[in-house]
Amino acid sequence: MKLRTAAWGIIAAAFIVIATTVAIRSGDETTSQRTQRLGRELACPVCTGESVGASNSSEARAMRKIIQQSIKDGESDGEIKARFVAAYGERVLLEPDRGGLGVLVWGLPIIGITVGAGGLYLVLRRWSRAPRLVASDADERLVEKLREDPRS
Amino acid sequence: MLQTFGTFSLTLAASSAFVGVCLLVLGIFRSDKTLAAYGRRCVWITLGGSTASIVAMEWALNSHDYSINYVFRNVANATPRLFTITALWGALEGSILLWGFVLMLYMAATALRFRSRADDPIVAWATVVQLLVALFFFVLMLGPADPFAATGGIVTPLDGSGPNALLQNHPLMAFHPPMLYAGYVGFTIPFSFAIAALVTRRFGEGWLADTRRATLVAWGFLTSGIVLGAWWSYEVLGWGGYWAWDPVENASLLPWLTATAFVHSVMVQERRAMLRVWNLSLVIATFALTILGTFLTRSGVIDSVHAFSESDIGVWLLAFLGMVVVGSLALIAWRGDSLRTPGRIDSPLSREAAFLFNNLLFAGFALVVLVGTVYPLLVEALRDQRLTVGEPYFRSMTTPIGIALLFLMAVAPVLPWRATSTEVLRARLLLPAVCGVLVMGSVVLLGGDGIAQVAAFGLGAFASAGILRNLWMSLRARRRAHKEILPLALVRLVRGNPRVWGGLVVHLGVVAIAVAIAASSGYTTRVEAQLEIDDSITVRNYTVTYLGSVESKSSQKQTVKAQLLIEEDGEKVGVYEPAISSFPNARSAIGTPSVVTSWREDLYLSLANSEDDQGKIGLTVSVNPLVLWLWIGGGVMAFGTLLCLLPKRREVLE
Repeated sequence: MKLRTAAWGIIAAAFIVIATTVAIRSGDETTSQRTQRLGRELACPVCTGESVGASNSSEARAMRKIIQQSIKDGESDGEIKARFVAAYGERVLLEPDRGGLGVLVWGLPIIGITVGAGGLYLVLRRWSRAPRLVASDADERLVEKLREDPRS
Repeated sequence: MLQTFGTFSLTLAASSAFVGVCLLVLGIFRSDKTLAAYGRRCVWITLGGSTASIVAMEWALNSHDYSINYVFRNVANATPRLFTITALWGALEGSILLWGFVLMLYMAATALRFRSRADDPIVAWATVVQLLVALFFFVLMLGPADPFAATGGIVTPLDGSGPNALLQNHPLMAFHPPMLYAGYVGFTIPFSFAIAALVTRRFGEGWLADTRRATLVAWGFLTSGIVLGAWWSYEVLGWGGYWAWDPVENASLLPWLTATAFVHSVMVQERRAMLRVWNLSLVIATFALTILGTFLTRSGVIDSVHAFSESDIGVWLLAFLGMVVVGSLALIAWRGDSLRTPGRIDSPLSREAAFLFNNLLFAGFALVVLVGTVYPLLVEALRDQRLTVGEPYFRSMTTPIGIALLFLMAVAPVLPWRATSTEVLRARLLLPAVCGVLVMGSVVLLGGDGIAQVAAFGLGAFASAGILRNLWMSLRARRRAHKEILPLALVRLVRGNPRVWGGLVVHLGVVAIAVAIAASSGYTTRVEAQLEIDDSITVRNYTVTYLGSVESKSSQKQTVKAQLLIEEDGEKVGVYEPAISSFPNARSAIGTPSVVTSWREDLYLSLANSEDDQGKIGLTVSVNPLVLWLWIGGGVMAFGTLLCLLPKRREVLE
């Protein structure tokens, strides 16, 4: 039993070490990783439903070059995206706005899941607090009566 | 001639569905068994009409009868035989023809299965609902989606325009759409029984037992259809990915999510007689989402790479969807009070509570996909602005849900029903947790990063170790008790409870897919290059050398293949040929990627352009880790579903 508790302790410690390493490592991004990520966040303006990162069209390839160059020039993600919005309009963004109407698309699922989780929590709590089985007086009398005379 | 025959068969199918509905309803109300029996026979006549229409269309396609507009638009004299046959589901009208036929096959199978209980009101009402759904689709084919409409004009054309170029480039096209339809359409059966249960006030667990097989079959087909679609996308579209969160893909994922929630929560109702309204709602939602998906993808309301066809059937589908949703909700509300059950869940640490969490996550997942897919429509309607909700949104919203589902999948199967202590859990989960942490540690040591990726690897190991531990313990107990050899014990164990073991096999498939998604979405290397002849490029440990191009021409297409010598760690792997084809009926060229597959990673070669005026080809080379495991995982899931369908074998005690 003690051994098992110790084993779980080691697992927890190892997990914390791994999680910290991953968290630290996830901070830095290479130029190529950043190009790929931004490519996924922008729509290829001449394709149907493909991102800049996915498309093989010459426009998308040119846009990837621009992204790469802008990253080398030290521009921020926001600046790079703003450049493409200026050229092609809002449609080039594949991620919906976080303000305005966009609140709906980000908020609705989160609200839905939160409300669902809250409801689940409440109902589970109510169930676990309620006594398991409540036999009413009438039930008890019935059982008693049957015990005395099974044929009735 | 074929046109008249086709239209006649569709008219026959539609009218016999209509007559069937009338006779059955009359028969039920008057308790007239003869009338109801005549009504049931209409299912077979409708099946006959539907089969005849499919035969007529295939005949017309294969004999190049261009007086039928559908044939004219979807095949050409030069189209190869396989793609002439598959042209049946290459465009809207033909797809609905196939839809109707698959529906009739399901209905016939249901009729056969319940032939001894045909007078049972629940079966009779289910048949009525099925016939109504069939009637809708056959009327659709006689009206706005007429597959046998004439080409028009005075002279019949001598050649057709051929299928969409993307649809005649890979044989997977022969399997993916029919699989998907078999999935979509199959949910009509549980839906019809759910409605019948509401109508007949028999909300108990009977209808669940009656439709368990049909639901699993539909679920299995839908799963395979989705995985095959991803495979097709990966092998044909040439962008290196398999899932683009395209509206058509989302439309197939939505019913899958609610159906997956249903196949889990159904077990709670079977055991504890709880969640009746919830399960009815999930079945109805799944059916409604298949119709919504058809509406989204076939009405042309959303731009997508799949928008092969557009037509005015949108209004019809929307009206049908409205009827299904309003009608079902009204029925549930009408029966409201009598649906309540006194059941309860004793502990949050129990199998049934885990199923509730599972349902919360799947419903949340479905909500994310639904909102993200419908949002562009809303913005366009309100602001007259066109936009696309793409991968970044879905990725950031669904990744946490996916990770939570993986965690649940690792823990839930070891939870007993009713309640458990943390002590039992700590004992059962110790070994899986050790495996999970070891795998996470190895991934990090090998240089892996990304919280979601590392978590997916760890939880995948956690879940599969849990399943294997469970299997091992059960096998050991069985071998001790019966003195059996290992293979025999394994077979008998699975045959004793195929549903549990089949379900766990499906989970193993899910682990493979989750790990493959994590690896290929996080650890892919992608390089673009312009190469002259004899130029080389090195990506990770692969060297790609451009040897030259070969052009070939057929009447169907014109193809340029780039010959690439692939070496791995200096050793020759072979010559691979990604290609670009131009089809006479397509504006832009279609690329055909070439993939060097191994169990560890794929080398994905895709040609962006053939030799330009400087003699350089444009090439995209990616190394996509573990992608093969996506398809293996899909196969394992299909196999697990088959296991679940096996009848349970009771052992004879000696």
